[in-house]
Amino acid sequence: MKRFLLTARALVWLTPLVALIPLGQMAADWVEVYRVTATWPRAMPHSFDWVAWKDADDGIRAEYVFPHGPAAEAGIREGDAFYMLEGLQYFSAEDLRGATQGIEPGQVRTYYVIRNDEVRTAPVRFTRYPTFLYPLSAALWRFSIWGFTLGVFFHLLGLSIAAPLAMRSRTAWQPLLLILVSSLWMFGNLARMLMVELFGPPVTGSAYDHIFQGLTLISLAGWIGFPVLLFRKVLCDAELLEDERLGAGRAAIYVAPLLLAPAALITSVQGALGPLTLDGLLVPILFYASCYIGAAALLVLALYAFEREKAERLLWSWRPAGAAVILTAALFTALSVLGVVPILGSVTDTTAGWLIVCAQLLFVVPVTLVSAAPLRHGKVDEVLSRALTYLTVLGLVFFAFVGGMSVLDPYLERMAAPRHVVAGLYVVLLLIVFERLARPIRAYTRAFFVTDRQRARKAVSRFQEQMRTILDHETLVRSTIDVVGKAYDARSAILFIRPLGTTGPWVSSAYHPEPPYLTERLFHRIWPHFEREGRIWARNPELDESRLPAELSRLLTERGAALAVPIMGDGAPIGLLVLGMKKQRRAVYNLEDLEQLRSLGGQLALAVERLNLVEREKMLARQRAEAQLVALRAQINPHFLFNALNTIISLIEERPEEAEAVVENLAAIFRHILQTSGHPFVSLEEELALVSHYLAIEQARFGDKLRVEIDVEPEVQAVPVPAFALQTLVENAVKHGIEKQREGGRLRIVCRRTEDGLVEIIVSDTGVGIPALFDAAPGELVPDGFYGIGLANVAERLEHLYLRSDLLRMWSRPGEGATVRLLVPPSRPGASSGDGYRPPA
Amino acid sequence: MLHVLIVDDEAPARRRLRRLLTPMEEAGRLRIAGEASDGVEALERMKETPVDLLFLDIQMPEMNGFDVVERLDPARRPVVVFTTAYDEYALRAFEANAVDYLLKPISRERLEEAVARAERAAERPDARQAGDERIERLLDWVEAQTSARPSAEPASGPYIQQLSIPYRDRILIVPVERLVSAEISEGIARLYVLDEPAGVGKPRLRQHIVSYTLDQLEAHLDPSRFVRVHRSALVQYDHIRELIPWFSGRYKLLLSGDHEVIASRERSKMLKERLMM
Repeated sequence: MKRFLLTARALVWLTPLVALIPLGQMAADWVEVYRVTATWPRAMPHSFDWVAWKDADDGIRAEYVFPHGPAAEAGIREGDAFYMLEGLQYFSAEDLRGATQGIEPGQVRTYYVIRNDEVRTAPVRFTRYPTFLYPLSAALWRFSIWGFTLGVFFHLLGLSIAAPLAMRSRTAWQPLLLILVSSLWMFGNLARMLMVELFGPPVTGSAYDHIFQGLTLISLAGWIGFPVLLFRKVLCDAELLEDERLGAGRAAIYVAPLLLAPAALITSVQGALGPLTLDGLLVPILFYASCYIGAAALLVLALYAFEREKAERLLWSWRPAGAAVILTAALFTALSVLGVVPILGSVTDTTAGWLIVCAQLLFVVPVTLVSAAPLRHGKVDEVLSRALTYLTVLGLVFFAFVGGMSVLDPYLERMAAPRHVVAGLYVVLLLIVFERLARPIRAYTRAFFVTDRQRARKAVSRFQEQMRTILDHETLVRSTIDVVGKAYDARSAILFIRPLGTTGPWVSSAYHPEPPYLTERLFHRIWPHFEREGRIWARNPELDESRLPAELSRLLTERGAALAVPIMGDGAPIGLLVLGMKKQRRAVYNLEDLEQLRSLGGQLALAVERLNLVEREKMLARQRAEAQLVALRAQINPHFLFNALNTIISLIEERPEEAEAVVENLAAIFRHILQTSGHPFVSLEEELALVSHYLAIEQARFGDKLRVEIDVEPEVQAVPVPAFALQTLVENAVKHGIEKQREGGRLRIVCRRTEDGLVEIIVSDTGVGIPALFDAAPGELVPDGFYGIGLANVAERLEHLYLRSDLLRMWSRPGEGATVRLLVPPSRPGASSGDGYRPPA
Repeated sequence: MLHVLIVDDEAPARRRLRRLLTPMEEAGRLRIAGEASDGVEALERMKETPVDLLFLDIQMPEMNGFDVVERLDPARRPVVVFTTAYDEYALRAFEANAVDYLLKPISRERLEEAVARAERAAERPDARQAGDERIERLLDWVEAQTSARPSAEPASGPYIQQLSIPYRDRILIVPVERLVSAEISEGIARLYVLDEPAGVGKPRLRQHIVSYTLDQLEAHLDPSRFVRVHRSALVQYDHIRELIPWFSGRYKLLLSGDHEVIASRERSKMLKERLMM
């Protein structure tokens, strides 16, 4: 740490000082001139004739004449040989340029050029030289345009990734600012070049010239601003900006740009500040930029050299190799500018222009390097695929237009058709065609970019479609966390949901739970905050939008969490999805993931709500069934009542004891009905008592035609069973089985516990059987409407009470009667309090 | 003096009715000719001894009260008083056709009225005839109510030659020749099948309960051999032994094994044409 700190301290103090050397040199020169001549030197802005002169074997030739430029308007054409300027001859393009530079902008000078062995005169009105542009050769000019176009394209990409990110987190402001400032430089220069190309060079003093100068100033602001911001960003990434030990050095880095910026402003507004012109600032600014960018690269190298681990953590997108290249370039440029490497003095202006343009473009690269680390949290995939689509589509449009027009042109000339109209129509046609094409191309590029992230997106959206098929909260939570964990390749993930709102129980499920765990206890500590705020927390500050207290944030980080997404229910959060770091090193969550997860959360909340509705519906059905039961009990079976009364009255005189017994049984039945009303469950013992009272009455009616056997295991006596279920089965067997047979029959009731803990109640009779079931597979229920609503009612109630439809089964074979089996599960699921089982008194 | 038969499948109910009738028996107004515990037994009793007044329960195994009345010889038919404890369907039938009935437990007064009416009917032929017409209307009403479903689509192609009848854990295969009749009562379909003629003596009639309906069965049987003589009965021509003219243009069919089936009015007409009478 110490060595690195020393390096950093040296850099922050030395860099501004070194960067100001050229300004100092210039000042020293002026003082020297003043000492010798006692007058301050004066300087004029450079002038330009807008011709790229080139040395040829037979003298100087016009290699490129800028269209609409003063030279072109004066009649100089490409290929013209230079003869004289204002009567003076020059023998190299370099000399000629030196001579023209000093002419005051706005002055007219006459060129003598030779074309086809004829001397022509061309009065050229000189204009101001476009600062920092290099219209010195055709190739350099084209290279600059294309280079800056490419730069602008990358800056647009960067901006479209950084801007949405910066809207959420302060951390992304720095890269956004950096890209913005360097875009000023890129956009300004490109705009100026395109203006020259399209409208010609500005005539000094015109409104067009003012706009042009304004753009110059804007680009200069970017050019002066971005090296210092870059340096600052690296200091910040290396965690030095907040370091007190660096002291005032942190402020010192602003000295150089703060001196250069006003100078640039004044010279561009006034034209010249004493001996200083805007063109004269070229060298100091270039040198300053080289110094700062070199310093930034050096700082990165130093961090890698002294504290590799920290460097990899903080600056992983800027590798030492890149830093070394940048440093070399910066050093080379700086030394050339200083004249230490005597390159600028020995080569032509054109070569120098090449070097400078290359350096300018190269210096923008570190902007990308330092911005990449935070920007990977942005919508990279989407922006890239969009950019690729537009590039492809616009490129196709371009080539189709150029190619199409070159094919059309000969015809147009022959037919003397208005060229502009045809071209306009052709453009419209192309736009329509490519508007249609853009969508499939976009889809194709998406497929082309099948990254892990897109696969995750696909998996999650597929799951969102399947969500509706899930029927309970536990499964929903479990499958959600499995899908999400797998899709995002998280080391672990956990989902907590409270389906029934703020008072209900929690349902949770984990994917690959691995230590350190986010335990339920810890979860309950952080939950109140999320419940209040409902915002996403992320370990990466770029994504974090919550205001989680630092302590809780630390807690989550320590437990390996990378992302915590609240599941937003109707207004308030109903749960929290916590994702661990991604398995892959350096893989991070980004804005697209976040949006996807947020939408998944919404879907999940909807699914939970839907399940709640289903649950409520089921509960209502259960309550309805219970109400039905009450009604059933209230309504006494009239057949039974009148038959019983008839039996009593028949017995009363001859066999009074038997009549008394029937009355007692009848009384017991009525008492049972009244006592148990409102309880859906009674003990099996009570139900069997009811059944025996009933059977006693039936036996009194039919005598030995009805024979009964009851076999009950003592241990199942106390088991709660649905009230009246067994009674209904017995009544059916007697009424529809035994009483329909002349010779009567035998009824057998068996109650026992099965191996899997259920209580099995079997009612079998030797009556006429159920013909509808003779051909049916064993265990099928009676087809609807065969007899009585009694059985159907029992089946329906069982389904509502236990949420199972396999509890009631019947068999019947001819000559053997019918058998009904009723299974009673050990406990009733979802029993609402207050109407549960009442233990026997 | 009226000869009375009590038909009820509940012994206490029979005893109670007998006890209520005893004072009248002692007064010489009637004589209790006997009791029967179901429809089949009742028919047998009435074959043996003529009866003037029949107390008939509706719900009985195998043959309910209506089935019994249908099979009674109209010439010798007694006055019928239906008894029931609580049967919405039967009560509707009685009310619709103004037929005499008693609700169980039977009150003395109502019983007295019923017996008095029966005495009047026995003395005056016009009253008796009115009662007969009411019974007839009742039977038509009941027939119209039972299984008013349209019959199944006629089966095309070959008709079945053998019947499969589930019996305990087996399936019996019976040639259709031996099927005497198929009848449905109280929702239970029964097949009456002749035993194989083994050894000497009359072949015995057996009944089997089956799951198919008469409509289904009829669709699969050759219509030239089987005829639906009633909504609730299908018989084989070859097994019809006698046609006994019954009241109001009906026929009672005496089948092999002394089994009896009543043909409905409209089917009786068809039968007559078919048998060229």
